Amino acid sequence: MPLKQHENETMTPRERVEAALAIKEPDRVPFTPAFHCAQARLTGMTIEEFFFDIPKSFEAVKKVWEMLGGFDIYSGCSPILGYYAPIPNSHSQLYFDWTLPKGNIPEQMHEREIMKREDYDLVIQEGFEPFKRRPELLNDFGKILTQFSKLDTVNWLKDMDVMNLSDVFIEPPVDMISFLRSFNKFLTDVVEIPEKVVEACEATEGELLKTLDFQFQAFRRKDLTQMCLFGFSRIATNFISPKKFELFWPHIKRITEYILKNDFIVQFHIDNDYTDVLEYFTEFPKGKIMFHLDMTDIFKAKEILGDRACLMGNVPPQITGRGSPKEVEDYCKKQIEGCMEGGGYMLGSSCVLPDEIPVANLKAMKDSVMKYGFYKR
Amino acid sequence: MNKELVTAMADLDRSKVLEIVSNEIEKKTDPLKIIDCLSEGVELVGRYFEKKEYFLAELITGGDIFEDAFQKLKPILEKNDIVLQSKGKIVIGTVQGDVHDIGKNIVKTILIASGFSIEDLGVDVQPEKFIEAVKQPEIKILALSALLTIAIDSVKDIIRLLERENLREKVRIIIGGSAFTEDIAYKLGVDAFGKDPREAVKLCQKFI
Repeated sequence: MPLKQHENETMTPRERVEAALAIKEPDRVPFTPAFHCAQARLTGMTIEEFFFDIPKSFEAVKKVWEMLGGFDIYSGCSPILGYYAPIPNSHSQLYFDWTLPKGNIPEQMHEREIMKREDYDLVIQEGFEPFKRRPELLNDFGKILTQFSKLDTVNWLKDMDVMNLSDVFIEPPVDMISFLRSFNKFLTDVVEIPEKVVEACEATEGELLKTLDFQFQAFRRKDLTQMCLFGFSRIATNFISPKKFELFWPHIKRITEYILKNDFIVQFHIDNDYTDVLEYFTEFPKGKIMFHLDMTDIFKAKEILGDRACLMGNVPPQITGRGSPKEVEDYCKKQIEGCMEGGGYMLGSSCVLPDEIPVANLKAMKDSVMKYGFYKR
Repeated sequence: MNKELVTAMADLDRSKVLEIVSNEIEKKTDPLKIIDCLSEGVELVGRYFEKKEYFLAELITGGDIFEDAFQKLKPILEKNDIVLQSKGKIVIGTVQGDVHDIGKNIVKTILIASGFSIEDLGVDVQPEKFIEAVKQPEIKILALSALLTIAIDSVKDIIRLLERENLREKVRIIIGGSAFTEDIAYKLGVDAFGKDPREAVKLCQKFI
């Protein structure tokens, strides 16, 4: 039975989100929270348990779903899969050093200079393969995939008519390189040898697009709207100038076009601040891209991209995790009232919700769309 | 004052900076005068950053070039028993529960290039370790870094311990990193929030 969260609703969650993605006004603003492990603390589990015990994590997710009366999107349960995935991405232990959760301390990357400056030519010639290690984790990857396949998420979501926040994902070469070099070294490369960095990005584009191909094949569901999470955080303009950002734009654009060609909506999950380069994204067609914003000014994004891209995010963890419920409501109210006109807007968090979010704050977020987010007909 | 060196440093021309430093070493120029030129260049980099002509990438590159040049001068300083006059000593670390060190390392590099000496306690630092470090008579500033909002509780623990040991008035506490905001700094009762590395330097200059 489709999920109904308020008596005034006239749409299912999927219809609501699809309308927002198509830059139309749904019945109300969708509430689309992206969780990491907050459901652990909300149900009395540790983050460690939630992370490693996949079926238990799904039970915790369903418990929080019931506690709050459901949400307009599903963002998954345990985040463990990405850490074992043999795909070049910053979360994969096959490329990077991660300490996985212990008790209530979440997973954290130990970023270090894995790739030296003299390795750029190696990357250009051989891609990211020389940096792959820990093949023993591939067995674990298989076991984890099997555990996920046994969860009944598909039928559960189908019954409620709720869609996934994303079905496939990709990080661009520039982010992979930035993590392999480590942040400070990468930024120094962008200043001192930008052409080399760009050359390495372009040389490895194909390798990363191939990782999308098998995901498209495995996870495509015919006739359903699906999103591809395209995540990058390291070429934000709180780190590099817009002029330097422009150097990396061509490969970002090509990857976007490839995703669009395969009929997935591109979900730009862009952590940090991209306010000063939002104009670049106006190149893409209406209703085919959306933004999950972190520090980027959502009001500015509405001005520049509101006619073509669905926007969500820019509700920071300092408010959702540490503010009072009133502060959360006030923040969300201001955003809802400033961004909902004309559709193309959903209420979400900056990146993922903090793991320590109090239930009262999560409720305040949801209540704010019910109080302020209905469109007048 | 070697204006060419100052300009090369401000222009982030690493090879030119290192070439000039090598030449000055050969000419037996006072290493402290060379460091003064490098520091003046770094100061210019900081000003360009404030004017938004340079961004974080350039600020970090400036610190990195300074470090490279300093390593060339270090043997001469040691050989001649020359001790750099520090503007002040700062204890810095990423708080307990957090292992992220990028921001901390950026601030550390810029502070060193700006003439401060640093005791870096590393990451996931227990509150007690910060307290022990702060007990040193020359420490006037405690700089705390965190990326994760869960680490905010660690800052509360540090302040509590400082108060218990009657050390709170001895040090100024500056917090920085994505976990924090001005508002959180105010609520925690720390002395300042450094929104970027340049701001951190200015705060340290103010507090010393």
